[in-house]
Amino acid sequence: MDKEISANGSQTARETVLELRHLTRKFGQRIAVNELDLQVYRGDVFGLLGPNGSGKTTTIRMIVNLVRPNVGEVLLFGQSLQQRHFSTSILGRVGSLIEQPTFYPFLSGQDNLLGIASFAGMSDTQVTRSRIDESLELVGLADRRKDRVQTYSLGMKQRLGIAAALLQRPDLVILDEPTNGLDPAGVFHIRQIIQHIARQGITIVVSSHLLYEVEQMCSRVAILEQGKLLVQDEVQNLLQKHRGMTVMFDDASVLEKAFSAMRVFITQQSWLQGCQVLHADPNDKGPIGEYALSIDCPSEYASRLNRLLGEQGIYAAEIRRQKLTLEDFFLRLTAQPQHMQPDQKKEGAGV
Amino acid sequence: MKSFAIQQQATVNADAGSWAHFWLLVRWHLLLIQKRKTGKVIPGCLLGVVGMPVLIIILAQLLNPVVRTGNHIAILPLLMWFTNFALFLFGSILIATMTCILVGSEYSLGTFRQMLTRGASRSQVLFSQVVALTLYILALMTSIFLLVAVLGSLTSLYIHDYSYLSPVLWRNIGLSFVTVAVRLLLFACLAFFLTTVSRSTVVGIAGAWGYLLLESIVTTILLGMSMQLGRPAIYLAAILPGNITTTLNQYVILMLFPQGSGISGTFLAGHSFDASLNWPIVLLIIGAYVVFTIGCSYVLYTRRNLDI
Ligand SMILES: Nc1ncnc2c1ncn2[C@@H]1O[C@H](COP(=O)(O)OP(=O)(O)O)[C@@H](O)[C@H]1O
Ligand SMILES: [Mg+2]
Repeated sequence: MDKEISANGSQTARETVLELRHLTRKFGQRIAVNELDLQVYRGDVFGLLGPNGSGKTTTIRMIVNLVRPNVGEVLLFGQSLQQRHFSTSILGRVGSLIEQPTFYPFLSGQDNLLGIASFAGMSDTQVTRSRIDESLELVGLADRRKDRVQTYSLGMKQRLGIAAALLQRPDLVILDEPTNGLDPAGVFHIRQIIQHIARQGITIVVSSHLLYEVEQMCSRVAILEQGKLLVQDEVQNLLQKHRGMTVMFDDASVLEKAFSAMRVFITQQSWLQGCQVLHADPNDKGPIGEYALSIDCPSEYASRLNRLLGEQGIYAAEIRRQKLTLEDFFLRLTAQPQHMQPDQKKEGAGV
Repeated sequence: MKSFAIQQQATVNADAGSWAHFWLLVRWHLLLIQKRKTGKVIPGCLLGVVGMPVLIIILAQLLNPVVRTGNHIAILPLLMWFTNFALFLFGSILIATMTCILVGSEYSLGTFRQMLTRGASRSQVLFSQVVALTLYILALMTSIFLLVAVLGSLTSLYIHDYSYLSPVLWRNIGLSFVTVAVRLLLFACLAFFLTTVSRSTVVGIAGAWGYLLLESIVTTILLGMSMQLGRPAIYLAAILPGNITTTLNQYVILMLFPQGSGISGTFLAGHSFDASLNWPIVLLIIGAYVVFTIGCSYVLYTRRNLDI
């Protein structure tokens, strides 16, 4: 395996660990995953981001061969799961945690891991035992290893699920919403564990509906909505490419004028191509009585835009350039163009 | 956090798809049965069902040995007959229930996900479960038969009943064991099939119990119609899974307990079937049932989407 490639790295020929090609899965009439194309490279911490019901779990189920795609294929380490003589042994290189972790509640954490070791083809030897200990230690469950899983809290079960995923020392770890339903301390703990795994150079795919979480943990991200891929890129690239600005006005009528003018500029000025005017709700007054218009365009355009507006007799009270968060970005991708209501904003974020 | 160096290459894994991996799965299933409540309750019930009459018979013999009164009853055949009867009647339903619980809980707990996403193939997982259940049922039956045989022999010795010395009797006990095993395994297969189709313990149990009821109703109807329909109706009734294992068992029971052929025949079967279905055909038909139930489970299990 090419180990010279850096984890946070350059675009130079990186080994593709996981590739999805035109992956489609329908349940009756509903398309859960729609022509999904993805590449995950070695060393990535890859975020699969999307609101509830966007097809994350279905995608992951297809990756681990629990669900078969209607169309398309999954390639793990270059081997297609859809090819005729595919061997399930390739799944031995993948550790996964899908939705809620599943264990035998009447067995201890340690015994559950012993079972999972035999599922993975590891017999009950000294080596296996020490691996179980290592995994339990990593997720901070060493002192509870002998307790039955039914006595574990949700966070502990979730961490045991991660320990189970790490047991066979996989090359790829897939975690489906590992922080779902946890309290802030639990979320923090899981994030720490994920970062720790990432530092070992293990490729991670983590799904989430929480944007800030993905922004904090992931190097690359794919954004899904209703089974469709909206975008796939390095987190840094996304955030750099899509900066924006907010222009403030003193008066609602000026805001309206500016909003109409901006829409005209976008169609007329070639350099503004692809930019969007996002928010212009005349009732939405800011804390100091200002009216804000957000514009999705590179922030270097601030002075040029200001001049254009000035030429139309529209004077901004303030122009604020901002770095986008992934959350803003997500909203922009999923919003209906131009007008966006505040309550929709919350829903889209799925927080 | 402790430092934790994950070496890149795993070395202790058995080759996925190998026999070593398969036996690991079988061993795990066996271990799991023993650790579960079901794995304690069901053998407990079986032991109770068999043990109560056995103990009563032994006690009665010890308190008032019939041998001495001149009315000679061989105690070991009698005990084995009761064992056979109890396992035949209650064993099948208990084993079917246990199978449904064990297989169904992998779905309700979601642990099948753990099994299927770690390199073992679906057929390995399915057959390891089948093999583990078979071994478990055989082990359970062996212990019960041995226990009764030992107790019976000791009692015989004590009351100077020398029937336990007969080699023919032991051959018949062996045959009785085989026919009961065939029945219990067939019912386990049926339960396995129903649970795999429905992915649900409850539906599996309801299906297995419902089937037993249905079969006895259908048998009564078919035999009732044999006046009009003639032999085909009888044959049809005779090859139903419950009845056909009964037929097989009857041959042995008649050998084991010839004095009570009248009682045992009607007691066990409720109906007596024509003996013109000879045992190779009977075994063949039973084999076909096993192949059908496990085969269908296999096809379903390996093809379907496991999205629950
Ligand atoms: N087994 C199933 N049967 C029918 N619909 C399903 C099934 N599994 C998922 N879906 C549907 O597919 C869509 C995607 O679901 P899912 O992959 O669970 O989304 P996410 O994990 O992103 O929340 C949802 O609309 C869901 O209702
Ligand atoms: Mg999900």
